[in-house]
Amino acid sequence: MPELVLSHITRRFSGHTAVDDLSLTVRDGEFVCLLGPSGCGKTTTLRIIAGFERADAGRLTLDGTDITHAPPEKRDIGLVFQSYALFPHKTVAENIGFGLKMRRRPRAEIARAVEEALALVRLDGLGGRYPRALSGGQQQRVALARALAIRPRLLLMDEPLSNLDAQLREEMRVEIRRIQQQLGITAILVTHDQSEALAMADRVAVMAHGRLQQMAEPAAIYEAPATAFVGGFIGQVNTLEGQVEQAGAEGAVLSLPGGTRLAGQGEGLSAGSAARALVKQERLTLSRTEPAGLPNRFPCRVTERTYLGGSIAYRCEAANLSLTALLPNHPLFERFSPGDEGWIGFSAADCAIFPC
Amino acid sequence: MKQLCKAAGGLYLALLYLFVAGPLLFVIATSFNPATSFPAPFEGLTLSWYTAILARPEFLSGAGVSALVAALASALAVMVAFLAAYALSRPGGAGGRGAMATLLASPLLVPQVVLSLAMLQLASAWGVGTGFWGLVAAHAVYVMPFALRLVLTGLARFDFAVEEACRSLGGGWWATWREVTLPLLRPSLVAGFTFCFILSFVNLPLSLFLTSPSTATLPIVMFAYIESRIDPMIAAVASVIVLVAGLATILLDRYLHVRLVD
Amino acid sequence: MSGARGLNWFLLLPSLLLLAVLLGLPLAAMLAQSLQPNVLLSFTGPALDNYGYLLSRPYYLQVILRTLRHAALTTLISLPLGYIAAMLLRDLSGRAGNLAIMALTFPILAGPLTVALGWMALLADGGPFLGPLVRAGLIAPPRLLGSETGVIISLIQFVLPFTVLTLYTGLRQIQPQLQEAARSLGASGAARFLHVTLPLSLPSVLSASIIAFSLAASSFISPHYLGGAGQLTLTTLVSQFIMATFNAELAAAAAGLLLVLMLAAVVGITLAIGRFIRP
Repeated sequence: MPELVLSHITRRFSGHTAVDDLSLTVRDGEFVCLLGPSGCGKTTTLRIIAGFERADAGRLTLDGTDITHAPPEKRDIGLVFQSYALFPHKTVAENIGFGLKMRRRPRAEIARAVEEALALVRLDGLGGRYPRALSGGQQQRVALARALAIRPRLLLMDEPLSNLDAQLREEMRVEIRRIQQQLGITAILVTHDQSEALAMADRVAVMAHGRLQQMAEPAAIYEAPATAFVGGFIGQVNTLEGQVEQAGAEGAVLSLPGGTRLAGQGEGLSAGSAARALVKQERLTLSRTEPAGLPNRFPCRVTERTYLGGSIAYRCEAANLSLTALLPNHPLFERFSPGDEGWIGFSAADCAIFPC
Repeated sequence: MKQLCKAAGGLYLALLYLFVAGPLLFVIATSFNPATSFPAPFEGLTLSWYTAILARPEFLSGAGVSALVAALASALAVMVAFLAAYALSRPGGAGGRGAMATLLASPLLVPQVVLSLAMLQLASAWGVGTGFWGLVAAHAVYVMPFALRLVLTGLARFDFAVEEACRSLGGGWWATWREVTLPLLRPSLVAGFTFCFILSFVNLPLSLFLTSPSTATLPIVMFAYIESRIDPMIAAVASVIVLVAGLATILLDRYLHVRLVD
Repeated sequence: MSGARGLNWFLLLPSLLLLAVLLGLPLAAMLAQSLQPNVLLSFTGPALDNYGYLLSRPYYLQVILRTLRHAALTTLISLPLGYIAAMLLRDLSGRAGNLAIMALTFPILAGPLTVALGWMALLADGGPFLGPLVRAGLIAPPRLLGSETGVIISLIQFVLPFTVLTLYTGLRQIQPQLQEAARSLGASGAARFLHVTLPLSLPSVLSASIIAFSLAASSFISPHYLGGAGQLTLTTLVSQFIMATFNAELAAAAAGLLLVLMLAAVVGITLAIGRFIRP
């Protein structure tokens, strides 16, 4: 079974640790997205898996065999580069057949595999072109076909969609996912785009400062972030800092500077310690009347309105806090203007408290 | 006003180019002049000075020596410069690239006459003659920085990710060089070789103290000839060199899309 | 990458060896010889007497000063000439620009020997420009051949393509948007040049100055053919010592002096222009 296991992988560059004691497992046929801000170590991790960067410590196994020290060309891992890295002096067909040529496969077999790969990425008939005669989206497909033609045990993609325009990017998300499912190939995609990760992955691994923050299904990453970093990084979030007043299994209370108290939920909190509450913007309600059912509700004044098309963001000032609420642009939802008075509220379940 | 500025600019450039290329054009014109003194008023057109070259075997053998020296020196320089430029351009390589590039360009700061003298004195310190290989050595050191510069320019436009792509597809380092790196850098390598070849071929001072009658390069033969007399035949020899240099310039630009500047 | 670093040194080794064996060793042998006694001077070597000899004779001091004067004048004249040309060339686009730049490499490739032949003819009293004037009695024969003026004219011509190409490369690297930004902020043409173009082009001015000075100071062909025996510079002096007076030690000392002077000039130029370069 092609299962990739990283155990305690560490990579230091002069001065800083790019990857810090990273352990994770990618299951057979699974599509994993490595997500994180730039400099979080996700690309270094990908390059360690590909063999272009060595690990200072830790072990890497694929299929149960140790590949920690195997050179890239012996790993049978397909790689799609951010810049595509197509060979400009070779035709599309030569690019796609290159890996098999390196493996000294018979010419007829290579030709057949190239045709198959071209069909897979829907570029039939373009084998004779040179890369520079193709559009960005087509080059992307060639890069994918080239990586897949060697029947890799694992497919790695480094920000493959970042050079495409918005519409094409959405299209390629679906396309890459379709191909991955069709072949049942194990795949890892590195991205800094959270919607890309949430939309494509079976599981998302969020990285920060070289460490794995959380690895879970997209919904779990979004709904139940494991760390303050994940909670703050994914989605549009209000962050409030204060002191834990009360902590327990049934819930926690955070006291903000100025005396405002928030009811929320969190683990590993102890009374008296500093903590941070994260509330997703779209989980806030904004209404003219007091929302009686919500434990956290404050009278407020709307100070700013940002029209976003599908939704509208309202900046609201309450007694001691300032919050942003994201409301759907829908007739069922009340409209507010700057200067309007109202009530802002959210449930305890939507108020995640993390120690800091 | 704007038009006037433009015209003034054009005139300035025209005068500057005339100044820079004028002497060459005049040499070429003189080579067709039948007058036997140099310089002399124009008396007509003749190719006799070109046929006169053929009667002097030392010019032909000089050209042969020059071509051989230039080819060997340029080949050595381009090979060495390619390896160095590759090392200096690779991403994530050693620090101190700037200092290394400056060090490797240091032959440019050594006057060619001095290099020639130094080579002569090293040979005499070792008690050997300078000979053919001394010539090749001096020329190779001198042209190496030019090759380095051209290959570095080519490598600056080279996407090293294609090498990684090749390796991820199963190519070892030799396959990577053979299939990807060298083919993509070929224009720079050919340009570097051509440029170095011409620079070496036309160079006089490097060879000044290093030649014997059997290893006299073409510029040395011309140098010796001019010492005794100066006539339009030497202009004809120069014109042939100019022609070769001109063809090389066009070749470099037209077919290889590589220039000294970018 | 420590693995890559090992490989890098491995790849750099051939070029470093080439420099060490074919440049370092010969120069060392030459400098060693410059410290030895010879037919003119007897002393117990190694000592600096050869250098002292050259530096204490007015005739040789003249040669040294002439070398420096040639190089300095050539640099000072070719820099502004080349700068203007580079600015004009930068504004040329497409085919014309390509062709103009290509044309500049042509005299470099044709080599200084062929060019010197042209100057010998052009500057001769009986040449195409001066000849008719002299014969008509309009001017006295100016005797440019064998004069310092003749040498400097040919040096400027020799150096100009290099300075123009260097300055052109530097000017091209300045983002055109900076000009537009300065313009939108109200800077006039002169102000844009003074506050944007000139400061940003200083690194290339520095390289162009170093190239011009080194080329001029180390030129052999121009002083030999256009200056002659009356206008010896250090390079032609070296060849005299080797080919006429057979004094290898003084030749080595003269060459050593030239090297030292050029290094000092490079350091001086770098300090002089470098302090205006920011950051």
